[in-house]
Amino acid sequence: MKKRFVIGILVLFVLAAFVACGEASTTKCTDEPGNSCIWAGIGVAGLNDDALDKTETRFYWPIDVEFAPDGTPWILDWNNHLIRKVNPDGTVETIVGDFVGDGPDDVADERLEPGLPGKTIRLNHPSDMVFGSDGYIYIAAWHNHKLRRLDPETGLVKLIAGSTPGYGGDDASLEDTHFNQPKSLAFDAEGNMYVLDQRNQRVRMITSSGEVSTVVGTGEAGFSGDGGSPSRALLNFEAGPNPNPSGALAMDSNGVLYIADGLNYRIRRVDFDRNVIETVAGTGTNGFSGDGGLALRAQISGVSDLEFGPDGRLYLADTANNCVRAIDLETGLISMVWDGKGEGPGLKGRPRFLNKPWGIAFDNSGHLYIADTFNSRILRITLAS
Amino acid sequence: MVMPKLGIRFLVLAIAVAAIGIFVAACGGSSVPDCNPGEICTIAGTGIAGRAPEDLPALESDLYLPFDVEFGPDGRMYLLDWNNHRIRAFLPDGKLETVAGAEGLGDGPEGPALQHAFNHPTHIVFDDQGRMVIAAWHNSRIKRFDMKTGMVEDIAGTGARFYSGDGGPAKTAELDLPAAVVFDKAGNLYVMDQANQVIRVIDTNGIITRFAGQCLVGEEQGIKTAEMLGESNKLGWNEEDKTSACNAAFSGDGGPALDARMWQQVGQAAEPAGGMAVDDAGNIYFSDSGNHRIRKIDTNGIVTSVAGNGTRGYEGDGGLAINAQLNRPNDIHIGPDGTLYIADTYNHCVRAVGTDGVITTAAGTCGSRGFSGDGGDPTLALLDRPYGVCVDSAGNLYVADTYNHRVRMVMAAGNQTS
Repeated sequence: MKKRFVIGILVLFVLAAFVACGEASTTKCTDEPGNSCIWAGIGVAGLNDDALDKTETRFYWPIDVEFAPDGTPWILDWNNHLIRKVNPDGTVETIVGDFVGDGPDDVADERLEPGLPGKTIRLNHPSDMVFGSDGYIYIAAWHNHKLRRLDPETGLVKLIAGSTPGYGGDDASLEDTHFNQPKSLAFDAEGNMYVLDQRNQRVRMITSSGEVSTVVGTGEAGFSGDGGSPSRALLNFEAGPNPNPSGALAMDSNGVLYIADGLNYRIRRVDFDRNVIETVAGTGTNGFSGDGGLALRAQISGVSDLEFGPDGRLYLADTANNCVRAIDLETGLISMVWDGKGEGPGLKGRPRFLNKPWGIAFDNSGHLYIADTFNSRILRITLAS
Repeated sequence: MVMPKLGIRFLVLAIAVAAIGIFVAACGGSSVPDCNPGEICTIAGTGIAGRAPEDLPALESDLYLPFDVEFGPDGRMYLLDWNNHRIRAFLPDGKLETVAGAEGLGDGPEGPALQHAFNHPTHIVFDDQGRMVIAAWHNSRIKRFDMKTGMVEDIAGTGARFYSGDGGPAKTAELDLPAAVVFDKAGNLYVMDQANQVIRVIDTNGIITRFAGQCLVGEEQGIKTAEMLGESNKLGWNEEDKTSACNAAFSGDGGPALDARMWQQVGQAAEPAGGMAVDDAGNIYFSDSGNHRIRKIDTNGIVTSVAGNGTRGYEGDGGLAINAQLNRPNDIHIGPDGTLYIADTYNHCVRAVGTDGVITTAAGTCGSRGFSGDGGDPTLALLDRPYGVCVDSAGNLYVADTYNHRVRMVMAAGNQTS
């Protein structure tokens, strides 16, 4: 009896130690519909060593996850200024970056083919990456005002566009074109890359041969132009000297470009064939409302990422509303996808609520990933089909 | 029958000890600094870069590139938790508390300090009313935190990285990476305007003027103005515009500070540079980081070098400081006995210049980088790019051991653990 008592106390003690330290993994990723789990990160912002399992790795305000065509997950570890890859064994490896900075010691070296090892290229707040049909990964080095190209096979990084921040027109060579905090990237089927050029209040297009043009916006911040030509319309992204990352791009399979138009609190759609821009969601007033109704009558707040889901709906990281929502583009209806509330299996013992989710992604199996940015973790949700 | 019983008891005891071991290991171990006179020890940080939650002991709190510590008139020590974009205070119970800074990084808004976002604050100083004046480096602003009301306001800079506004109100003037702030006895505030290669002064009426250094652009021998930079200004702010950056140089020792040139880092990848201190006589000292020197501006406005011969390196301990080598020095602090302490950042050590002008090493092993030595001789310890130094009235030395994500302390010989 005494022995059992002592052992019982010990078991309680060890349990208490785990609870007190908050390090025990009590969440599990399963394919049960409604399952939510911490897929990566420990929920405490920081930077620890590479080669740890993703659930033991610290991230600092991860802004997005992206899945390569081969299924490899990549994490944009925003305030650690790193691009990190999740290996098949679940460990995390830094591929680009070395604390904060801008490029290699000698910046001219980064302009030469085939580039330099990724870990010699310092980044400043990378915000997005896209996978080109040429096999390269293109990186929006947001606070560097530059676009960089990573060869995932060799790990070499080359500067492809951008110099000092600003707007210098569309006539310069790609390398010397100025951007001002390029936030988001998207490719169309022809291999044209679209750049949300945040502080320039424009969307720019880079053809596969390297020609640059402005395809949406005039450079002036504001709201106008619905029903007319996108090149005369105004967009409104966070500006000033210390803006947050603002806005997002997504391209559908027909070449229609969707823009999360940050401070206009709208989602806009550009049909280049018809040369028309229009609003598909948001009233223009910052807020939270409208689930179950028409997206055009709903309020959204600081949407920072757009992704098409496996069901064809357009998913929004509704960042300032701390939730993920989706729009059925056929019916025009908006609905809640995940806000951490409600019943169901989930994050046992961990905070369920999101804190400024800046990014979302889908893997090849259709799981939803949420970069729960200010919680410094990445959640995986198995959606009910 | 006796032996098995003893065996079980022993096993239970062993499990208990192991469980306690696991508990301690998992929770980070001791939380009380263990320091003896003459030794170096860690007083904050775990060594892991991170953003610690509130209400943890300083030794269990992750820091992320801590930049400096300074004592307030309230006797508390304040910590610039640089890459967490916030300012934290050491509480009497050994815990850390965030006093200013919001959840994200950013700029403002003016109002409650815990809702006010910063972007890489580097240095603080306190005015005669006890208010904290903050060099909000990446904000290119100077901010003021009134701890009585809990409010933060902007007092200099517009947020644009540029050079303008001399002769007018500091609030509408433009700065470019203000890295350090000090007051003289008359209440004038000196600002190391790093990327403009100048020190500016804000008088008690809030008017800003140039105090030392020159911003010369290209081959033009004149002060940079908005008009001169009209073309590049179209590119937005002057932020990181290398073609129009104020040129770095070294000149002017023996002459007026206004004619002198200095070398502080500029551009997108700049690191903070150019610490400042003021002595009792009103002389202003500054780190001329890129020239590997500490320079002094006397009360007649004449500039001289007081440490560093301009060659990058770590030679010279035991000799005159002006013949010694430094390596990108940053923060400087004058101790109660007049000793000038230098965060000799890229030498990974703290140097000390006595009132006799002789330089020695106070902490770290100059030229070697790492983390070691707690509980021993401070000059055998290793530091990693220390940016900040501070000395209290008892002569204890505090070092922001930046890339070790820790704050170290060298206890003055003869002092007891406080």
